[in-house]
Amino acid sequence: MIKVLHSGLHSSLQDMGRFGVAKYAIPQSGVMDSYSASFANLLLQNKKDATVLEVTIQGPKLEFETKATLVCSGLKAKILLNENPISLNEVFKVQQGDVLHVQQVMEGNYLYLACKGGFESESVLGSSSFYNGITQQAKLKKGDRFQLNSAASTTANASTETHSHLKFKKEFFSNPTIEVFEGPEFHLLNSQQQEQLFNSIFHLSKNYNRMAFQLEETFENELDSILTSPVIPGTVQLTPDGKLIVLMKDAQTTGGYPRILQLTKKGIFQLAQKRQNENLQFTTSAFDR
Amino acid sequence: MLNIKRILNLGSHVILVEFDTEIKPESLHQLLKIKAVLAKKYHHKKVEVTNTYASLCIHFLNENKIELNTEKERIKSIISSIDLSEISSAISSKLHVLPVCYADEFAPDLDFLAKELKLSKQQIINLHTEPKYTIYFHGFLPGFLYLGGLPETLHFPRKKTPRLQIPKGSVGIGGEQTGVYPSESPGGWQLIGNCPLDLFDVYQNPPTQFQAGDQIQFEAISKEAHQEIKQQVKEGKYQHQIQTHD
Repeated sequence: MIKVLHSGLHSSLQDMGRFGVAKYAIPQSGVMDSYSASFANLLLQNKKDATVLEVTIQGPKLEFETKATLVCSGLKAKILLNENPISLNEVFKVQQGDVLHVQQVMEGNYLYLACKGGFESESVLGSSSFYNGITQQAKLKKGDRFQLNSAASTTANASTETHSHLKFKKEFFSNPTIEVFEGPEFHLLNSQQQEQLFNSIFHLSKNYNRMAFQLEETFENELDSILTSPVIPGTVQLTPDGKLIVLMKDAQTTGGYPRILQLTKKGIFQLAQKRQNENLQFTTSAFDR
Repeated sequence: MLNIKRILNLGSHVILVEFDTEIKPESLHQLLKIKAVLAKKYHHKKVEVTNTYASLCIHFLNENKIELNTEKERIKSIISSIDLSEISSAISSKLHVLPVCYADEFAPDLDFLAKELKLSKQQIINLHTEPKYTIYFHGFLPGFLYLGGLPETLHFPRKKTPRLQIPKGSVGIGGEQTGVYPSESPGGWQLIGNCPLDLFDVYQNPPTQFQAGDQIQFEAISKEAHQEIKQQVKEGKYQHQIQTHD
């Protein structure tokens, strides 16, 4: 078991999310930065969709009541194991009684803690990803206990094999570009607006969470609302008063605002790790539409 | 007859098919027929087909490699092979009767609405319980039903400033729509009552008893009945009335 001594700002267990339940209007959920989370799992030779702990800005303090093999992935963070610093993307082991403290995420918003074999959490409708109203918990609280996958505790000793030679591609996150496709209502913008959308520098507003990232700049437009239509993570909605709202992993399944852009999977993890002061610029995906 | 307006990609793993259509039950039934055929053709793969008023949305599993252009052609040819003239008036034969208490304590906006619409509260209740509403799709929140069929006399704009917290089960009117909030949430609808049921339960399979194409009728109940049903729901002993007809 792992005991939560401090919960941090918003720590939740996540995997790759729920599939096949959009018909009930259940959000997809899952890790915000799929690159970093998958990288952590890869380093431990886990399955790509093994459950990881997603840490937001300020991390939790965790006491291990069992041995475990772990790794932290993300952009930059201050992490202590019993007061000793831990490096990102380097596999480490903990013993019973060890305390791991993610003090601060220094770059990006999200940091992932993975353990060999994955964490164990109640699977609801095909996924362990926390979501309020679907799973019993929406986020970790002080005093909570959660487990390593039962298979994990037995393999933690036996196999130390990891993919430590892999390189984390930080360059994915180091420039302002956010990769997008044109959205279903993109064509309703005039050509000047279309150009402006790709030539402008945007910033994140202070309103951002797992559901949506709202941009700071307003984008003047005359578009009407649309008939309520499907939306997915990465859909960029444009409101009549010019707000750009990028739907993220916990987004609703339908929406009534024009969908002017659609982030690629890469675009979603790029945006997930942006902060308020950083520049953002949409760039068309290399994919052919 | 439904015609494809356009078929396009939404990201790398979703195809949208948009139809030229009005919001009416006949069009919904055609849309659901197409949806069922597509779901059947794709059932062996990790694919989900959902619908809204005028769109079908074909979701492919993110982890799978998908050639969207090939799939688009396939979808086009499947749809063109469907004979929509064969569809009878209704696909589903289910009518759900949902108890709603319209008492003041559950209906903070009923007085206001009555004044604005120049109707008595009882007239609003009568108008609201009369129609058989059609379920078009689930959206907005897990278990939230988009219903069609609200009488025009009851159409009324949303609140300018949404409430931050609306109790679970609240029944409201927003524009041309009416519906039940399946869980506590923020919301801008005018609240006229409360339904004591759990419209959504993740521990049931499926988590909802309501399907697109089904019909819903509200039935006015007293405060006492509301309390009693709520208690029965809590104990897992309540099943709302479902009428089936061919």
